[in-house]
Amino acid sequence: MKTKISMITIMVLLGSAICIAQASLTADQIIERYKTATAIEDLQSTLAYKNISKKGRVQERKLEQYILKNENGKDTYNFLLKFVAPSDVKNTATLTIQHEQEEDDQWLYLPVIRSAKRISASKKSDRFMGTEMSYEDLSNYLSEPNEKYSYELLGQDAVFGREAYHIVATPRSKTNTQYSKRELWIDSKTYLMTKCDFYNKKGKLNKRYTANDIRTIKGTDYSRAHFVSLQNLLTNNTTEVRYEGFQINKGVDSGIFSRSYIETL
Amino acid sequence: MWLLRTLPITLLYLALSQTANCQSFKCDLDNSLSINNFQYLDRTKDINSIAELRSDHELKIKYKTNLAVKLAARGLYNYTNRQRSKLFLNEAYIAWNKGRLNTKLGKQVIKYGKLTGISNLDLANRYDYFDFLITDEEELGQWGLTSKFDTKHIQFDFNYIYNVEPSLIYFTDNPWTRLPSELAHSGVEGGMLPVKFRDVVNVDQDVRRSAYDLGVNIELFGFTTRFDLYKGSNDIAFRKLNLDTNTQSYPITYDLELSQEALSIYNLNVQKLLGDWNIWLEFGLIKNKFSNAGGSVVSDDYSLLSIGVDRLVLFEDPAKLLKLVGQWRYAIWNNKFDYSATDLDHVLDRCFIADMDYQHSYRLSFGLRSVLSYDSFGLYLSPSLNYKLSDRFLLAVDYELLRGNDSSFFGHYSNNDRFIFKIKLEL
Repeated sequence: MKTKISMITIMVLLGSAICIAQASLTADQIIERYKTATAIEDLQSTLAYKNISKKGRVQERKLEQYILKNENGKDTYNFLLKFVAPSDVKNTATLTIQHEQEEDDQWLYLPVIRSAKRISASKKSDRFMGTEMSYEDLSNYLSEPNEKYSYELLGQDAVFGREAYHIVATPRSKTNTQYSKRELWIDSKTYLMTKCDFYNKKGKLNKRYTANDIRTIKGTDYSRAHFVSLQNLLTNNTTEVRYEGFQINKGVDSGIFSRSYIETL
Repeated sequence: MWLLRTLPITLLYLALSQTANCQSFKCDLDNSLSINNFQYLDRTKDINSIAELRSDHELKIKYKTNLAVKLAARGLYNYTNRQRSKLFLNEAYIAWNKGRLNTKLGKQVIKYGKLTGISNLDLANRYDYFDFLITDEEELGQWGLTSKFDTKHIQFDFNYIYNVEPSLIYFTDNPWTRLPSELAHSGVEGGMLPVKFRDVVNVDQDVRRSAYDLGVNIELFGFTTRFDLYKGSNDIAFRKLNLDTNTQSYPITYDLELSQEALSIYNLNVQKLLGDWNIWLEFGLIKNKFSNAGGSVVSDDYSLLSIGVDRLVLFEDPAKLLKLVGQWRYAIWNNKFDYSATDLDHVLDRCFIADMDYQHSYRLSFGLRSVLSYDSFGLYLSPSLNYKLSDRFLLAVDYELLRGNDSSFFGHYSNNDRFIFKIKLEL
């Protein structure tokens, strides 16, 4: 009986200790865990997105995405998106090679001209492929640029019924960004971002990102949101993305991130 | 009967698509049906309306990201002229990549020019050169090998065509054909000899005409520089009338003798992105052939200079999109020859080209294609309107207007003004 009480006491104490440890995480530590949870060497999946205009008009696209971290070990990625449906955009592909210092290289393959065409390195605020996601959002989504922001923990909230850390990210003085601040909600179990509010330079709430349907990827320790929504609160346009078939760190051939590849296959 | 022929192919595709779907394999099957109707406005033409039903079937099986096999079959049923109905395999190739080397072997549609406008290299491929005239039936696969190799700043291309297919644009009973019904002849009363077309005779049709293209693309200091060397044969054949001297009465029958001649293109292209504008300059040396007044084929070397821009404009409303292309072309001709309106290689020698595509919403888009031939005044204008009832159902209407002096291609064929109505259904 005495042994049993001691065991219970130890377990309660241990549990409390873990809770205290979690509760006492700083904003920077949570962001580090968020980076770890999203850090990948490579990823591939299919995705279907819907652009919904403020008038309710819907455009649907299905794509394959391939992501590979650059060999230099920095947080830059090669990114290949290939449209698979509908037929009028089928086989259109975009290839993005991120660079740490220089502007990104980007090519667009259009089946009509059967050739990859270099396109202007997009401004950070440009929309990515006609979605509500900007190139800066995409870059942040691949890797949170924590050296460019300072973070403050505001508390804990529930997002879609899940506990989340509420953090405000303010750009450091020399950071080139379209936002005055971002408010992030980081899931306390998976350390994935479940919500983010983007404020423009005038301080107005511009966009809202939400992510749910979080599932563990089969055969890995990674979890990923399988449904993401990005709503532009100023224009009332929305992009919804449904992901399927995630494969993380299973190996993506580096040869596919080339003009030749998107022109051939 | 035609439907019975396409059915087994479709069923084969369906069967393959079911067996080929597993984790490493991906299988895509696309089928579409379209009805095209060409309405000519010139009532004096023999045929004012052409209607055709077209079916396209594509099967692509991919193994991971390294290997792909594609089969594409096309069926055409021409209601107006049933002899033009056909079913054929347009593409059948295997493609693979190993590191930075990408290769495609088999029957494939090859594009030499890399411009959003008209490239000098498009001369080697009639479908691309006459892109502005909506000649879908010229988009034909050719047996060959294409290979590309990428390094960080340099891309190498190699294309080899086993046998260059002759173009169909001029001689297969289409609106651009205008075969003579009389010939000038001093020994006949009235000076004109009545003649009647009998048949097409392909000279050396058994001779294999291979072609190759070598291209090097270098990206340095923000400039993209590309050099191409094409050596092959001109897919537009030379024409010669052979009168049947045994004909006893008028009209005299004649055969049309076709021969393919050599074509070489040395082409340099420089592109630069300036803000949102893509600006290009192209210079090409063309070594072609010319059929002179005496009917003999002689060398015709000339050069072509071209400057152009293109831009993609995005709007706050993501449904809206605008594509713009503008181009100026100037040929430095060999002054020994006077080109006529029917010398198809020279239609776009000295002209301005402007293209505009505007997507107003996810369903509705407009286009305007135009060519102004400033040397021998000629004008081509083609407004178009597309409406998508759904992702699978498209309605389209195009209008093609040709005007100008009779010495220009567009003036000479001005009786080919037409509306094109199209209904396309993805199955």
